[in-house]
Amino acid sequence: MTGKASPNLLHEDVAGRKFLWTRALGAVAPSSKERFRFTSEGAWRAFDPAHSKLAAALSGKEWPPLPQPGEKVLYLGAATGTTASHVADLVGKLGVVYAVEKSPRAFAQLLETAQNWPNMAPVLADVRETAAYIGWIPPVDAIYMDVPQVDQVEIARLHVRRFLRPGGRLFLALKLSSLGRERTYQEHLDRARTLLAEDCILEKTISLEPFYRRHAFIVGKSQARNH
Amino acid sequence: MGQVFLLHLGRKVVLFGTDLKEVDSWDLPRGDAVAELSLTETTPKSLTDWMREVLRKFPGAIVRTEDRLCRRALDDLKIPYRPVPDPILARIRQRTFFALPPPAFIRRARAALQAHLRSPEEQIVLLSREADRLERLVRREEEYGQRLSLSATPESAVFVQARRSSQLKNDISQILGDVEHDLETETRRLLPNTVAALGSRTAARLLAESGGLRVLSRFSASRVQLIGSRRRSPGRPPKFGLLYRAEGMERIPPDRQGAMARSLGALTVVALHADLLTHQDRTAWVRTKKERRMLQLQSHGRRSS
Repeated sequence: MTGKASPNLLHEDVAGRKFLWTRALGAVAPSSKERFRFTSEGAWRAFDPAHSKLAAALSGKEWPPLPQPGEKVLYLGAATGTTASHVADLVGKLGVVYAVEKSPRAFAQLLETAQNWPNMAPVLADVRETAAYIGWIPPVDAIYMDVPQVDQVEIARLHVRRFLRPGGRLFLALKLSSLGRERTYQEHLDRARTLLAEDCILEKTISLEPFYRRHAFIVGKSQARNH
Repeated sequence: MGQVFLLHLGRKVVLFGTDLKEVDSWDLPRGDAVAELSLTETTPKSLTDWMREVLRKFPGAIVRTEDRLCRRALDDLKIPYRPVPDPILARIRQRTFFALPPPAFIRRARAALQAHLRSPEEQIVLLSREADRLERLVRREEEYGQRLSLSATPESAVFVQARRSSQLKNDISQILGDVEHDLETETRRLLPNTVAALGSRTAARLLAESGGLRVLSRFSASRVQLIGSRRRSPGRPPKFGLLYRAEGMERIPPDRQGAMARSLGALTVVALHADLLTHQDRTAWVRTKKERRMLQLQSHGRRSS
């Protein structure tokens, strides 16, 4: 069954368990342990909630909005490119995923993944230093961020202001335990929502339990500006 | 002209000029783009030359830019610049951007990764990891040889195996010696002051564990002490970081090694700043400080106030 959130996402309910698949756009290395499913619509890659916070957000009762085919997505904290490749599947051949990663070791693997996907553009940079890539990455339709750092909310806001088109979406995987110990997790979440509300309209906040403890997935929409 | 905006927009660098009061009535991109340069065939030098030429037309104007490429060229020309306010930046970017296709990003990314992996800093990290690996192999081979020699008689096959193991250990030790020599040369070249404080192996390990020289240089003395430390039991602070393996630590009584690690933490931060920021040779000063503290602690004494 496809199409609930995106035509490039397949979901099935089997005995109360939800299984997710994305339409395979890239060629996965033969040594990869990825699971595939073949239907009349093509090949689908398993989208595992244990390995991706986006999949964990989709595994709950509530469905967040998803990046749509043809959209440009800025992915901050792409690591080795597991979720980034699924986002690339979701946006399809006409979309682009700009994947930013700081660690050279993780980036080496991301680069390998990107070579197998026609729509992945990897960037080796620190997300705190936008000067390194602001000239190369155009305004985008969505920002996906998974950077478990103490200043993750500030980083998200900076990118919303500089990179997101009016009406574009922010998908933020928020690690609450990285935000410090001086507040409770609920207080951290409330504060993060208040700060983010200054730059975008918050649409959904989803808990990522039981897959990721003390994590929240926040979806916001940037305010339309008149130019 | 009040101010000019130098913006890198994908495959072009564009100069916009305006008076601040007129920002709201801009007709972008055509009306206010004063000059543009395609980056397809551009070198850093030609970009600087182009900038010198176009900025000559706006004497006294405030230059605003946000991109690293433009900032470097302006630094070369010694022209001061200011950041671009976010709303203006977003507005120009949304009106006009000359995006590159994904394969161009892959080419750039490969070059950036290669440059990083071939940097002196990364070479030190790789050599340090290789030395640690060889050291583990030597230790394993030594233990294995000792176990074999217990049950070996001169005419047995086990004896031959024990001799082979000993030979293998010697060969690996020799390679380890070469790697350590190279590591020492490279580390002394990049971090002379830090090597004077800690020795080349520990300095290289600090670099490898912390994630790079720029990250390490921002650490406080207490944070440097935590690198490589482990929490032995819950509720107790983490102890025995990499500083406990610094050169000369073996000469300090065990109950004073914590004090030495604290002193080394402070000394390391000063040495790192000298290596990365001021590029001054303070090795003699660092060595004297370290020796003086070691002498105090060797006699179980405390620092004189």
